[in-house]
Amino acid sequence: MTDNIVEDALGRVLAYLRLSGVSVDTDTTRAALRLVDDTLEAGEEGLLERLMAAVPERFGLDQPAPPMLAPPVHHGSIHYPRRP
Amino acid sequence: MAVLRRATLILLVLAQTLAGLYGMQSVLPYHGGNLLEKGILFLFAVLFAWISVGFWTALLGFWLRRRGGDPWSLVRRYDAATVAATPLARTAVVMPIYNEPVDRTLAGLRATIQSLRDTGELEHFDFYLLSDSRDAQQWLEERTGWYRLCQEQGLQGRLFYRHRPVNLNFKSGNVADFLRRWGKDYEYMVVLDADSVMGGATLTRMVRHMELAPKVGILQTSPSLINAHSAFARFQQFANRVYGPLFTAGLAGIQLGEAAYWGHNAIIRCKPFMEHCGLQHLSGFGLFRGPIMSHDFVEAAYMGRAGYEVWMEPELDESYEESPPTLVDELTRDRRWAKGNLQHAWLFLFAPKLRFAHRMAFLNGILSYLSSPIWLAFLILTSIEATRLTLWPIDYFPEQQNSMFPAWPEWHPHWAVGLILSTFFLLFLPKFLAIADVLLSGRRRQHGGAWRLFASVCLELLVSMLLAPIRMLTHSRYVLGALFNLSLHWGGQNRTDETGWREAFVSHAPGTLLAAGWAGLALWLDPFFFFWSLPVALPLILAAPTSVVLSRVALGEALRRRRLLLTPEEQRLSPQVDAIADPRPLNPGALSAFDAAVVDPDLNHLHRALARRRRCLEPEAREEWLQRCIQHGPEGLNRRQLNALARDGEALARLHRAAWVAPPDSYWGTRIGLVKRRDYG
Repeated sequence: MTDNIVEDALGRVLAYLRLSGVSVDTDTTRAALRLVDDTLEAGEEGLLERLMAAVPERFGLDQPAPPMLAPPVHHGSIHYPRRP
Repeated sequence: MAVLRRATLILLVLAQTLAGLYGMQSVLPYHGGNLLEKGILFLFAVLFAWISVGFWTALLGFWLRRRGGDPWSLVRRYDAATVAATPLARTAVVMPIYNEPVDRTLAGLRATIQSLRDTGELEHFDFYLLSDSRDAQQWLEERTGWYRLCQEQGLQGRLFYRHRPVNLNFKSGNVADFLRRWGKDYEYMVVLDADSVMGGATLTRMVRHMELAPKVGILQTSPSLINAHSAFARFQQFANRVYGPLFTAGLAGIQLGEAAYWGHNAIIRCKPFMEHCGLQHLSGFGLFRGPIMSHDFVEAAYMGRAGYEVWMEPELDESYEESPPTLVDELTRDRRWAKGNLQHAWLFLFAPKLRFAHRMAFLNGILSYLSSPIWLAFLILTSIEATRLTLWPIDYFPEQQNSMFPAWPEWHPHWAVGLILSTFFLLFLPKFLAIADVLLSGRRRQHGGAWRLFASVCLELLVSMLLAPIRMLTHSRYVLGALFNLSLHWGGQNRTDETGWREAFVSHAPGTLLAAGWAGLALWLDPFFFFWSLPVALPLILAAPTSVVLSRVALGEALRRRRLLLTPEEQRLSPQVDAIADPRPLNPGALSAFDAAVVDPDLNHLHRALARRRRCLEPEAREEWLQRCIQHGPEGLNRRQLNALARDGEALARLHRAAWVAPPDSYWGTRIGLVKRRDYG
C-alpha cells in the first residue's frame, strides 16, 4: 500500500514540475525523490498535502507574469445618429 | 460612371421584365383578365426583375473581367509603386467570437499573423480577440488558446483578449465595445470573422490604399470559400470560386464607391466609423423595434451618408472564409440573416439622407429572403389557377370585364415552355459565362481541366436545383416568423458535424408532406400540371436525404479524389489555407478547459492572475459550490455557478490545491492521473 502511495506521490511531483515548465531530467527526478523521502519522514498521514505544498518552494517555481490581457483603455465615444 | 452604369442596369432590367411580363400575360388563359391572374402577373414581375438584376450583374462582371478589370475601381487609382511606397498606419485586427471552435478560430488568426510577419510589417498591427462567449468552458478555452498563441508567436502585449461581461447588441455591440475602449489608438481596424483568414500582403495593401484615399471609410474584400470537406460545403466553395468572381466584379462595377460592407474581411477607418456609424435601436413596431441585427449594411450606409466612400474590391485576393458545412447549418444561419435583412426595410423607408445606392443595397438584401415567399405565393396562385380551370366551370363573363363578348380562356403550352426556357436562360447563362471566363483566363487547371470543370458545373446545377425549393420554403418560414416577430436564438455556427437522418427528417418533414400533397393534387388535376410541379415538389420530397447525403464528408472527399468541384486552393495550398486545414491544437485535449484551468499549474496561474479583483458572490453560496466542485468536479454545477468559480482567483487556487492532493479514484484524482501521463500537453 505504502509503495503505491509513494509511487503516486512521486508521479504527481514529476507531473507538476513538468507542467510548470521544469525539465524533468535525472537531477530533477533525484531531487523529487529526496523531497518525497523527506516528507515521508513525518509519516504517511497527510503525505500528499505536505508534499505538494513543499514543491513550489523546493524547486523554486516562480510563475511568470501572464501576458497583458488588454492594453490601457483610452475611452472614446460612439456617436449615434438620430433614431430612425 | 456609377450613374451611367446604374441607369443602364435599371433600363435593361425594366425592358427585360416588361418583355417577360408580356410573355407571361400571353401564357395565362385569361391574359391577366381577372384578379387571380393580375396577382400572378405582379408576383412574376417581381421575381423576373429579381433574376434579371442577377443576370445583368453577371454580364457586366464578365465584361469587366474580360477587359482585365474595372478601370474605375479603387485599386486601379494608384500605381503599384505609389502604393508600395506608402507608409503604414497603426491598425487593429479584431476578431469577434461567440462560441466558436477555438483551435480552428485561432489557427486562422495564427495564419494571418504569420503571413503579416512574412511581409516584415507586423509591427504596425495589433490583434484583438473579442469574445462574447458565455460558457466558462468556452471562454476558458479561448483564453488558454490566446495565452498559448501569445507564447508561440511572441506577441505578448500585441495580441489581446477581451471577454465582454455583458453581450449587448450582438456582434456590432462587441465591435463598438472595442472602439469605445481602444478605437482612439488606431487609425484602422480590420474586422475578421471567426472563420476568416487573410494574407499579410493583402492587409498591408489595404492599409496603404486607405492611407492614399482619405475619403474611403470602408474597404471590403470579396472572401473566397476554403477548407470545405463535406459535399455541401464543397459545392458552395466551387460555386463561390467559379461563379463568384463574375457576380462580385459586376456588383463592384455597379456600386463603385457606394458598396456594401459584409461585416468581416474588411478594413474600416476608425474615427469616422465611431463618429457616424453608431447603431441606434429601431423605433418602429414588432420586428422594426429594438437592436439592429444585421449591422454591416447599415454601417456602410451611415458611412456613405457621412460623405465617405465604401468600396468592395474583388481584386484584393488572399481573403478567405468558410462555408457552413451542411444545409442545416446554412439554414440556421439564414434564420438570423433573414430577420436582420428584413429589419432593413425600416431603414430603407425612413432613415434620412441615405444614398440611393445604399437604399438599393437594403432592398437587395431584403429581396434575398423576401423573394422566397413571393415565389411560394406565385406557386400557390398558379396552383389555384390550375385547379380553377380544371374543376370550376369556365367563366365567360368575368366581373372585371364589362363586355358583351365572352372571354375565352386560351392555353398555349408552347408559349409556357418558351417562357420557362427564357427564365432558365437568365438563371443559367451566367454560370456558363463563368466557365468561359475560367477558360479564357487560363484557369482551367485550377478546376481540374475543362471537362472536369464542365462536369462540376453540371453537378452543381443539379444540386442547386435540388436545394433551391428547400431554401425557398425554409426562407418563407423565416420571413413569416420574422414578420410576426418570433423570438430568435443568436448562436455560433456549427462548423464540424454531419447531419443525422433523424434530425433531417424532423427538420424537413413539413416541407416534404406539403410537397407530396401538392404533387398529388397536381397529378389528380392534370398530368401536365403534375410535371410542371415536379421541379419544385421533387426536391422538397427528397429534402431529408439530400440534406443528409450532402452533409457527408466522405462524399465531399470522394468528389475531390475524382477531381470534381476542385478549387485553386485545393490544388495548391497557400500557407494560410494550409495552416487551417489541420489546426494545431492550442489546448491540451485530455482535459476540459475548466479541468485544465484547475489542474495545470501554468494555466491555473494564468486564470488566477486574470481573475476579477472583486468577488461578487455571496460567501455561503460560493463555499457550497466550491465544496461541491472539489468533491464531484464541475459536472454538478450549472453554467452560472461554474462561471462564478472560473472568474474567482481564490476559488481557482483552492481547487488547484485540492485537486493535486485528491485521492486517485476521486474526480480530480482521475484528472491528475491523466496529466501524469507524459504525453499530456
